[in-house]
Parts: sequence; structure tokens; C-alpha cells
Amino acid sequence: MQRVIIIRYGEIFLKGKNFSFFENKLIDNIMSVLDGMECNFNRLNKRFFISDYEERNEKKIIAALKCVFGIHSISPAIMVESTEESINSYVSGLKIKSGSFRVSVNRADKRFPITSMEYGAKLGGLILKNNPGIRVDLHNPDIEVCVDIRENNSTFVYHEVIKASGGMPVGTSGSGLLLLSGGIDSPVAGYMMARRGMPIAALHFHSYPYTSEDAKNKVIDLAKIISKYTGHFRLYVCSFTEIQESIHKHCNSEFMITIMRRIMYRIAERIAKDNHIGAIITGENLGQVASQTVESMTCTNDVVDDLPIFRPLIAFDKEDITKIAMDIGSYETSILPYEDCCTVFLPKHPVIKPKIEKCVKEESKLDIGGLITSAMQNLEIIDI
Amino acid sequence: MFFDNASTTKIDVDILSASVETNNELFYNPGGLYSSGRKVRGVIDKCREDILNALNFQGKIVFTGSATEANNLALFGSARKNFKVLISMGEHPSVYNSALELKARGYDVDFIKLLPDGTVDIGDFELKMSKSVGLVSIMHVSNETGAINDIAKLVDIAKSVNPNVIFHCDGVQAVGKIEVDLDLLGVDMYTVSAHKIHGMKGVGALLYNSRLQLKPIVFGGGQESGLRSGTENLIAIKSLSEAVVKAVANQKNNYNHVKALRDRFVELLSESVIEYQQFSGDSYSPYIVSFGVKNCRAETILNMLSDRGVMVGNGSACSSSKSGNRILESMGVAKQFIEGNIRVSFSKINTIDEVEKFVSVLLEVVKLYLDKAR
Repeated sequence: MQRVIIIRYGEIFLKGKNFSFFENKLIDNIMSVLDGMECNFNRLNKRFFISDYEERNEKKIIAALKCVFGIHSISPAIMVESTEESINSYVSGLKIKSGSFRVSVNRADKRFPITSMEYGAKLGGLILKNNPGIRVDLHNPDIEVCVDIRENNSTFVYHEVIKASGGMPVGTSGSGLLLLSGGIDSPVAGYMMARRGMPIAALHFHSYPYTSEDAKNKVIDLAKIISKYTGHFRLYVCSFTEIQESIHKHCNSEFMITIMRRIMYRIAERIAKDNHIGAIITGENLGQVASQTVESMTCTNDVVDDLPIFRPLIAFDKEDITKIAMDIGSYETSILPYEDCCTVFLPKHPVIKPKIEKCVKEESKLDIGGLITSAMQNLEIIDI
Repeated sequence: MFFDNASTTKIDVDILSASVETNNELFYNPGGLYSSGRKVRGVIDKCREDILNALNFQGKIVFTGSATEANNLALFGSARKNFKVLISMGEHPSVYNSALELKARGYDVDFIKLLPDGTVDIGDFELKMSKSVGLVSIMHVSNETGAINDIAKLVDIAKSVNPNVIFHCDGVQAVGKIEVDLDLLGVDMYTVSAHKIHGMKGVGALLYNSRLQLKPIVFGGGQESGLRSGTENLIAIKSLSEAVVKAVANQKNNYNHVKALRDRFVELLSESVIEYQQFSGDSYSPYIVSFGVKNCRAETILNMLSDRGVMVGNGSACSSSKSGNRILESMGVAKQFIEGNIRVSFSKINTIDEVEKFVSVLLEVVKLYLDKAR
């Protein structure tokens, strides 16, 4: 008899011939979050379980597993030998103080001699005998004692099913470069794409001294928070100061934000291509600010030649985005009051429906190639 | 070059070594019944006496973990629901946010306006001071602008309307910097801090009138007459006492030195081409100069100064474009100057040479900023 943690996977169940590719990726990712923790990883048919850990580390292991995309749910359990005697002995010793319960038996190993229904009733009787103050409720019990009889002569007994992150294992899809600001939305966008199996890298623009070192450190902190879900990734930090000053000096102030973003996308595409990254990810959300109108996005898309731009939050309400940010733990950091580079040089009346031709005209006043080359030369790389 | 001395000061090595020595010698728990425990109590009581004497206060003193805690104790420990609480709009967040919390808990709290020079609007105070006001909290020297409030006058006004009113004053930016005689001021409670006057961080104290029935905000073993449970921090308490005694003893000399620094700074600034507004009037502490550079973002200026080795504060004006600046707004300062709010604060350690270098760097960065960003 020993304590174990059962891991169940979700969507990858549906995969056909390439199932093992998804399963192996999930195993890699699980091993990665458990790196440094003393425990053993075990594989069963359509299940994994963790064993041989110290009981005091159980919560820590579960917390780490909850962040792994591809895991559907987790249960701390007791593993006993698949004999009636062993199972009866453990289950009859369960202490349930009050309320109602039921026993659900699942026989993955059909060689087990009693049917699930019969055995459930028998085990229920044993529990009742030793816990006289409780009652059976088959429909809406306070506690459901689950007995899962597996194929390898092991049976798991548990009562708690913890929902995990779901999604697909990171690394099972092509990669994306996340434009990471210090706000609420972009970390959520990165999280959501990683949840679909996309490994990410991130790009942050800063404008020191117009923005502070604290603003940059905040983004590094946000990157660390997302990395709990995405695994380690690379953060590119690009100084945008010279570019902003140049736009400010030469261009019509109404186009400041649009041109800024067009240059940001050009830099993003350059970095993505140089590093074999297949897409750009942004936290844009339709109508949230002036730069997030259909027309503005048309103007920014215009400068990206070959890569898809994923905007997973495009149709979300702010409230929903905030809720995810709170759930994944990025919200508290996102709301720290440091300016990001988009709020510096903010024009009083930014153009809401920019036209590509006008952007091109404004940009002709700049040495865009030179500015981008200079920004690329000073790129800072931080491995998160 | 460090010009953010209103936020903290460099610890005085003599104060530090005296505190460490005392603590090494007497590491015992002052609550112990053994004789060494009594010795520690004796030293702590001597610290109390020294602070009370230095500030000429006939009353008691409770040591706390910070001046913020002392201000919290002053407000939460004395406010009652059957009377009104009056504080100024210029208070430090430790008083202002405590007052907001009292209000949220159903206490009757009102705020006194500020004048354009940063002092409390006495007319507004007279208007709001009534018999139903039981607690007033007005700071001695503004941590934002250096404005000095006429506490003696405010106490007179308050007591003439309600003789039983409790008058609290946050003296963190005043002790050792301007002349402080609590007997003359007539306050019932006064907050002091160590690290603003070259003592250690992590210690403050509330001086209070013996007649007050303060309620504790920290519960436990009943130390500090039940007002602040937790084993007394001898090393920090000793540093507070040493810092107060030393700062008060040298107050006049230090004041003259800092006044010369401040005057030189203001002179150089006024001779420069910088368009700015200074946020002080006739009644000010020379330790703090607050001003707003027109159409500049203070954060950028501070970053640029930091790159050039100058550390300056911007008070609670941090991220002013988002959250506003309660105090400057209350003084009626225009937005174009609030965003560029810089707080320069001196200590006895600064020199005229540093001030001159600082102003020259400041002029350079403001020019650079205006060239590139405007």
C-alpha cells in the first residue's frame, strides 16, 4: 500500500496513429516540471501515476502537475494490490466522519472476479459498518470513494478529482512569438496558445528611460509566471526608444501608435524567422483601445509577409481575460503600476481607422530599415 | 549622489555601533524575570526617557515596528464610532489610508483641504472642526512638499472647539530637522521614525498622552503596556533613541547646513532655463524641495538622473499619469506640472558641491528630454 498521484490525460485520447507522439511529449513535459523533486513516474494504459515521494511533497507535486497542458485531472490516491483482501482491508479502514457517501468501482482489469456493482455495494457495507454515523447516497453523495482496479495488479482508491489545465502538451504544435507587454492581456494570450500545444518565445519592447527598469523586470516576472505552464522559453527584449523618438520627431502624432505597432510587427517577424518560429501571437482584443480596431489590425497585418498572427483573445470580454489572468497567477503582477512603451508619447487623438497608404506615407519620413537594424543589433536575450 | 533623504537616510555608524554593542551585551529577553532581562528593560526605559526628554513631551511612548505602524496605532487605537475623525488631505499614506479604512468600517471621517503652499487650510479646518470631532491627525512637515503646518495653532483651534479632542501629529519629517518642542505644540500623540534621521529601519514610536485609552492593534504577550505585543527589538529601539537624541542635539547646525544646500539648489534652479513650479510657500522645511518641471514625465527624468548617478525621489507622484497625485491635486497644482513632479530631499551628509553637480546634471537631462520627447 502506498500513496500515489494519478494523472489522467484529456484530448490526446482522441489521437489516432500519432497518439504516441502526443503521449511522449506529455511525458517529457511532466518529467520537466518534476525535475528536482524526488519521485517516480509510472505509466499505465491511458493513465500515469507518480509514486515514491514523501507525503509532505504531495501538494507541491500536484501544484506542478496542474500547470502541465494535456493533463485533464489529477487524484491523490492509495495504491493497493488488486486482491479482494487488500482492497477490503484498506477500504474498511476509511474514516468518514459525517454526511453521505457512495462507492464507485471501475474494473479496467476484467479478470477481477466480482462485478463492479456488486463489489461497490460490498465495499459500501464495509465502510458503513466502521462509520456508523454516515449514510449512503448514490445520486448526490458528499464523498465518492472511487476504486479503480487496473491491469497491472494495482488498484487505486481515491475520493478527490482535481481539475488540471487541459489542452494539448506544449511542443505538439508549431511555435509562436508572443508580443509580451506588461499588461493583463498578453500573458493570457501566451498561456492560451501554449494550451493548444504551441511552444512560445516572447518579445518585449521597452523604452528606457521613458519606461523604467522596473517595467522591464515586471515583464521578466510575467514571463516566469507563464513559464510555469509553457516550460522554459526565450524572452527577447528590444529597446524601442530610438524608434519612438524618431516617430515622434518626424511623423504625424495621430499615427504614432499605428506606426509603432507596424514596426513592432516587422521586428517580431524578423526575430521569428531568424529563430525558426512559425507564428506571431498578440493579446489584441477587438475594440479595447484605438490600436485594436479592424482597420488598425489591417494596417499592422500589412507589414507581416509570411507568418500567421494569432490573436486568441480577439473576441473575449475584458472581464473574462481578467479572470484567466487571475487563475493563472499573472494578474497581480500585470497590474503593477509601471508604464509600458505604448503609453509613452501617447497622442491625444490617435487615429482609429488608419489607412495603409497613409501609414506608408508617414513611414516614408523614417529610415525604417536603419531603425530596425539598430534595434535588432541591441536585442537582449533572456532565458526564462 | 543621494537626494532622496526624505525616503530614508544613510545610517550613522556611531548610532549603529552603539546599538549593536548594547544588543550584544544584552541579548536577553526583556520579559525575562532573571536580572539580565531586567537590565534590558532598564535600557529600553532609558531609551523612552531620552526620547521624551529630547522632544519635551510629558507622556508615554510605545515602540513600534515602523512609523507607519505608529500612525496606524494612533488612528485605529484612538478612533471611536461616537465621534468624528478629521485628517488633512496632505497626510502620508500611513495616515491617509488608515483613515480611508476607518471610513470603510463605518467611522465618520472627513478631510481638510490644503492651500497652494502645501499647508493645511486653516479656514477649512475651522469650518470642519466641531464638538463632534474627537480625533484630528495633521502632519508636522509634509513628506511631499516640505510644508510646515502650524501645529500649535491648529491644536489651539481644535481644543478651543472641543477640549477633549485627541490631536495626533505625524512628526516623521520634523524630528531633528526643525525645532520640535511637543510641550509647546500641545499635541496628544506624535509619531517618530529612526531611519529618516540616520537610525535603523524597522523601528518607530508613538508618543502619547498618558490620559489616552489607546486600544492595541497588535495582540500577543502584552509587551509595551499591552499596546504593542512582540518581544522588544532592543537594537532598533536603541538606534531610534540615539538617532533622536543626536538629531535634536545637532538640529540647529544641521538645519543651517541643509538650508544652505536648499538655497543654493533653488537659486541655481531659478537661474536656469527650466520651466518649473515650486510647491512650497513661506513655511517650509529646507530638507525637502518639491517642484514640477513643465510638460515632463518625472519617471523619465528620474531614470535619466539615475543613469548619471543621481538618486532623487518623486514621492507618491509615482505613475502620476495613472493614479494622480492626491496631495498636489489638493493644492490645486496644474496637471502639466504634476506629471513632472520631482522631490529633492537633503541630509546633513550632502554638500554644496554635490548640489551644484546635481543641478548641472538635472539641466542636462531636462534639455535632453525636451529635445527628444517634445
